[in-house]
Amino acid sequence: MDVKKQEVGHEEIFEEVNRTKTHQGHENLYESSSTGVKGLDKLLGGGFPKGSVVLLAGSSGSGKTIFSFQWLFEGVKNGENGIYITVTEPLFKTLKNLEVMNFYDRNAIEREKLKIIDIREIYEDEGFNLERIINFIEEQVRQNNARRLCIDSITAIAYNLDNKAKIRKFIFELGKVIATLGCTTVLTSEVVDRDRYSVYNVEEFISDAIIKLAQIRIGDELQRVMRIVKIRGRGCRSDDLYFKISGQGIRVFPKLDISLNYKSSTERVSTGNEALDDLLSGGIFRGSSTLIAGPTGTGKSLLSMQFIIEGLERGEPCLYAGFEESRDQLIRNAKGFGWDLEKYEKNGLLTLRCVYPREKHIEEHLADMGHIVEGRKINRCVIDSLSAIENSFPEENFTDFVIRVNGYLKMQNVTTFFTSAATSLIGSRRLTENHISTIADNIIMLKHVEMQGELGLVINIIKARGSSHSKRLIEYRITDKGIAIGQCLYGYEGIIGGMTRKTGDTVEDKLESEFEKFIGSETESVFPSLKSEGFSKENIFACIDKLIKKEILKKNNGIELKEDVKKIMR
Amino acid sequence: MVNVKKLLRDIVEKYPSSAVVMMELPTESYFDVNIATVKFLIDREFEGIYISFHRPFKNILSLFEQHRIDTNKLFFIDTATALSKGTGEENPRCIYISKSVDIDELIGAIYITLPKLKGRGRFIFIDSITTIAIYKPLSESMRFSEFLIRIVRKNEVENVIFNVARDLVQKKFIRDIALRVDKVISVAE
Repeated sequence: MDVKKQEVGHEEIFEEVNRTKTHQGHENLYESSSTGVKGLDKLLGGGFPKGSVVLLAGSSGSGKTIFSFQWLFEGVKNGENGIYITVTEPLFKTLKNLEVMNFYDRNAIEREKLKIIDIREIYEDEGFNLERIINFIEEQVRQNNARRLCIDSITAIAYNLDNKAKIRKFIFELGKVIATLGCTTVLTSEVVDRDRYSVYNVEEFISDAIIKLAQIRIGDELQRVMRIVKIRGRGCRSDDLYFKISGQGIRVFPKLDISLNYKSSTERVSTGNEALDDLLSGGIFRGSSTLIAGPTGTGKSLLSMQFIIEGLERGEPCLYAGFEESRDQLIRNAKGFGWDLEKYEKNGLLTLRCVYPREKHIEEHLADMGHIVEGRKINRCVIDSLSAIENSFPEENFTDFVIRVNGYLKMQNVTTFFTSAATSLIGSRRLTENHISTIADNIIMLKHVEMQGELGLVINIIKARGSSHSKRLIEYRITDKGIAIGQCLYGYEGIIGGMTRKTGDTVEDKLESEFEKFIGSETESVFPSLKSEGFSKENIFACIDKLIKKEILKKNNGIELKEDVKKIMR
Repeated sequence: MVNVKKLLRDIVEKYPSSAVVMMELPTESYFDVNIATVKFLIDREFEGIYISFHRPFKNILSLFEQHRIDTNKLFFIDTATALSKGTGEENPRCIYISKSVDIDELIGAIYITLPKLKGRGRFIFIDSITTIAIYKPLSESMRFSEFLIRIVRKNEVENVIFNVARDLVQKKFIRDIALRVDKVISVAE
């Protein structure tokens, strides 16, 4: 056979197919055939262009048949009859896999709104006759007034043809007929190779759109990915989209869109801790991201919770995305500090999303959070903790997650606290790992320190982007009202490294001598109780006021003492 | 009532090797047509399997005997007894199917019974196919249909005859898709 001549002939057919399609598809240019696949229609610009031919390529088990049926049943829901033609397996086997899906509609099949056909019978009876097959498909579409057609698979039909020229002829003929029918058609293509979309290299030429389904190995898991290779007349993103098959059918998780076009607010919001706000020159910027880093037991979650409570009390919708603790545990812990999270959950201001990282794919977490943020118009968010996510996913996925979630939340003007656990209890951990430190606008470090034979806690603001902030190392305590920030650690060194040494007068020493200057020996009785309450400015001032009231201290001296305290505490 | 005998004669003559026949029946003459069909086939020296979802074996046996049908030419697969929570008396000519209407159990019963059919022709009569659909998912009903079509195509039986109600909405699906019927006998009210 003169294959070359035959191929020239097909080029002509190909052009004719396109001409027919252009003419036919004109009025349908902007109409879409909704796929019924959650997350996909938006990416496709509403669905498949009506009247188009879609090549759905993928290996065995990649989800082609489920995708096809989801699209067909979606059509029935929208009043569009469909036809499913199988070539590869008996219909009862195909149906068995679908009956567990919630989009499956038995009634639609039995009433032939969705007609299922095993085409093998035709060539069992009459032998494989190319023309007969095409005529049969055409008749079925016309008789059933079908607006959606799926041939599963084009590869299996072509396999019955004994040479490439016949295959090309069949595919081009089929394309021509389908184009004239005006119904949207999905042709499935069985390909194993990731970079190919068809077995015979011609299927893509009759297709207006190509969707590739695949499974890729990430770590020790296989993940499903979908790629929109082309969609004629519409722009589309061509990166891999993670998707999942469940009882709900296929759900695509589009990547959260981020760009550097977001606005930067100059509004300051409170962290929920007045003393910390002071250290940050009046709080953090709205829409900024703050990393709270520190080892276990330093109060990262607590500080984050204070931040959320502050937002809730101001009536701001908040999201607490916990990856380590259950909802009940968070509620119980918060109750211990006098905060009623359930109350805010009930009135819709607070969303507690508690899921182990491994329970979902990283894209699914992002999609869920995006859904909550946009659906509930979230103002404040806590992600607790990044370490849990880091421990559950490969490094590149984790870094990608942090970049995208951070970028997304900034675009949405959500003020966010991320917590991250340090690996060592005492001392410092490299914050530059996974680039978290460069991504976050603010970094607050919490640390255990050994000091005068005791284990203390120290807070330190490492950075506050676009704002002046205290550089001091400040002692803090975890109280029944949350984190209470205390005195600055003057007179010590080696705190960051965890080996604290006293090198001079500490704040405590300075305060004690200041009190002695004004109240003399009374200091011995007053100072220990002040120490037990914590050397916060508020506590000291309250103590001075009491001394004035008890006439231990003259009013003028009290004012002078307060000024001196301010200088010490600065 | 339509002349069922004539229609059946035509089918037997037109499809001497094998045929899948659907009978669309009105409620009033439902069982009368069933009896007439079975009687016609037995009288033509066919032997067959009667699969009943509606009436227990004991009841059918008595009705057939009343109509002078030679029940020695018939084997029964009875799902009706279990479905009505009854227990059937043991009889070498009857296999009782459990109430779960398990398709594998049904197929197994047909396989066991097929070699026992010794007549000039063999048939399977199903009363009625729609009952399976009530109890089983579509995939299972279609698997059973696929099995029936296969034994017809392999000439293990000459005729598979089943009845459906006239007003059944799924009858087109059963006719064209599920059982790919060769001939329809439609009985008007």
